Amino acid sequence: MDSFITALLHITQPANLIAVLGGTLLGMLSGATPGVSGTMMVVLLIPLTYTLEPDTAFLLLISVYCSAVFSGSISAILFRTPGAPEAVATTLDGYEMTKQGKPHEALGISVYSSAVGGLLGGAALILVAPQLAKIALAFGPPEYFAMAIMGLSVVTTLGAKNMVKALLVALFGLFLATVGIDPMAGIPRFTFGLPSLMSGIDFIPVLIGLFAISEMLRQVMQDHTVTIKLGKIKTTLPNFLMQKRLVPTIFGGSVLGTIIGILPGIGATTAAMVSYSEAVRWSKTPEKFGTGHPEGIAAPESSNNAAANGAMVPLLALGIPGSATTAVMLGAFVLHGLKPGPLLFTEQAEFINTIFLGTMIANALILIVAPFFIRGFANIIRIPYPVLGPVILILCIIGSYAIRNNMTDVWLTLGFGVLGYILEKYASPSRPSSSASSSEPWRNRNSGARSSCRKAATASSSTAPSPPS
Amino acid sequence: MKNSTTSLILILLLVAVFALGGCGGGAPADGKAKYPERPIEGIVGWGAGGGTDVFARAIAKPAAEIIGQPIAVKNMPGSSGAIAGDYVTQQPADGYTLWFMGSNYAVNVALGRTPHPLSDYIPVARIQHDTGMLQVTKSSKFKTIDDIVAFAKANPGKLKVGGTGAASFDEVVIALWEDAAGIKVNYVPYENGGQMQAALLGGHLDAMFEELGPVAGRVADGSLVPVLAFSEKKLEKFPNLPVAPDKGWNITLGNWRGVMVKKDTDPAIVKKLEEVFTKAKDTPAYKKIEKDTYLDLRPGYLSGKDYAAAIQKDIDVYKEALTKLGYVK
Repeated sequence: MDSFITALLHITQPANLIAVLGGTLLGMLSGATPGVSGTMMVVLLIPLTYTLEPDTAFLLLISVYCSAVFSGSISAILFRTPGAPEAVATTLDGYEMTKQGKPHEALGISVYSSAVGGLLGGAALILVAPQLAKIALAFGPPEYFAMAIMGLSVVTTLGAKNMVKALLVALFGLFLATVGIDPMAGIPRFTFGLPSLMSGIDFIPVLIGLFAISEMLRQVMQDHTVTIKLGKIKTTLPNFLMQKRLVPTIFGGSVLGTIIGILPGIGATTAAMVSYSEAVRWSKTPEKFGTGHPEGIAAPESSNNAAANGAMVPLLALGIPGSATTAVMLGAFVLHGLKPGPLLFTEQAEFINTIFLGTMIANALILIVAPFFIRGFANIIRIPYPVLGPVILILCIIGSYAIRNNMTDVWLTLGFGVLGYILEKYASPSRPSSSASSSEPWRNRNSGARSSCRKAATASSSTAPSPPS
Repeated sequence: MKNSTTSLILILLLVAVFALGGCGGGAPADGKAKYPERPIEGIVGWGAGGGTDVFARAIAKPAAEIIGQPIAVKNMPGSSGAIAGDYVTQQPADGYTLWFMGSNYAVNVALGRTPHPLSDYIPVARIQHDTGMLQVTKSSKFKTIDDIVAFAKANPGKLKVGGTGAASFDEVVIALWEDAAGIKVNYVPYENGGQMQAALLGGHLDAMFEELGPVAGRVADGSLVPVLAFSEKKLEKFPNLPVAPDKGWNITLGNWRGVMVKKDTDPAIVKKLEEVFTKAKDTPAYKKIEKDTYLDLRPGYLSGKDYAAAIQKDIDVYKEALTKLGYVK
């Protein structure tokens, strides 16, 4: 308790408050800009944190992390272009609401769900982090495999209109995940001798291509002389009735998100996808999803913020990162001379409590800061598309280059952009199914579930003949 | 006629302007003495937060202070660092592009996964020589390395040993150990250390091959127990921990990390860089990070010349082991 009070005093120091507020704003900006992710912002900030005290440094990084997970939804809702991978599922209902002239409501639901989800996930982090981390370890290859299958089942939700086409595109997504050096056998597959394909196709170029670039191509084909009158974009937080209506969705999303976030192999993007498909499954009106249904925003948004906090559990309690951003943070911990693990909780209780409080404040700040941020950011929608489109394209190209500082990723992004456009135009249910496909390489590669599929096979075969080794 | 003369003059002028521009950008005759006169780029072939990235950032900070110019660390992950290595060869050989690299380069050469042999680079210095260990959990039924070997002998192919990557440094060490100890284990490759550690702690693996740094927190609290170190000598910090030669296995390979530049870089610049990194590795700030992550278990520093020989030696060892494993035809 003492350390908690000291932590409270710590966090109210001006430097720390500025770090949290500044981090929240920077995170929102990076998350909302297509092609620039929260992870990238964290990487950029690490050299800057050398000069800061450890608690200030991590408050800054954690605020960036929490708010970036939320703000991907802003561009998902306004432009049908997810600003970050975590917001892929939010485009489905978010942009529909914008088309119906209700962007302010959609944004409000996203802000509210993200903050509540983040706070619930944060509470779980504070109350039961070490215990939860131990349970998460019991998740072995069979469980991760089941999780991947559950994630794949989102295809059945998204491609309901034409299951065959949806499944075909999902299979294409699985195929993309096989490119690169096989993680189990060490043999290069479908690399065409190109060194840049050895480590596979990264999820981000696929995502930016299929969503941002294809959307831009689609917009370019449209007549822009008459545009939808959107008026001033505001954020209308849900009223009491709506809040009450969303309680089960947000609660379910947060619980799912927290659990998925804690699992060391998968993170916020999977959480949002699984939570969306579960919300559809449990809904009494599943047909309304995809038509601008508020639950379709609340489910993924509450879930991804909860997962972001959940991912901190294995990082702090075990020193095992549960997501891309926490992996970067682990490196930052080492550079600051901190050793994440059970001992951190006893030896550095003050530091841990400061971090805990910081995550709560950062999530609460989303509620307060986001409406102002959105008001500024949404002005972008008023820029004529002939100007805005190319700017988004440039950002996408910079963004896809910046992931690995590699030109191949740029060509892949552009290629997937054209593919996404063709799929959408000629294979009617392509959007939902392409979203499924784009989530697959991720789920299978970055999240480690790809290897868990194999690992499931190895685990089962380890009692039988051993694999080549 | 007049028109063509005018265009000719214009073209000549343009050429002259470009030529002058080119001169302006070039270094003056005594340019090397001034190195470095602008920021230096440090390339890392792995993502932010990983071992090589932490190494690069930790050493780049004091090195930049000594050399008097910032060293910006740039991550170019992919293909076990081969993409970064390729990038370095495409930059000018002027000492403004440093490659922070490690053992994986030697593995890539052995596997033929990089078009660039060691002669395409000049090793500047080796900074770290990490110590690989076999580790088990506190609650494991295996308490010592002898328990593990006895089990593996009785149950060929049943012992699940985790490592990072297939056809990787980790797999080479495990394969050499299998040969030396006369056992057969089930090597389970993971895409990153985090996943492997989670699997071991969750009881999905019997043991793992890992350095101490990434798991320092859990070794300190006793939840992970090293049972064997692949090191020449007993470790001062772990006097009771058996080392491979104790058991008659001559396997002391460790992950090393160092700096290289492109071939044909001015020897004076290479020498200057070598001096800078030699100093940087002794700064208190860097020493502290080495100590915190147990990278000081055995001496890591090698001069550029010795480093080159060490890399070549490892390439040969890896090539032989990987050929035996069937990865190199």
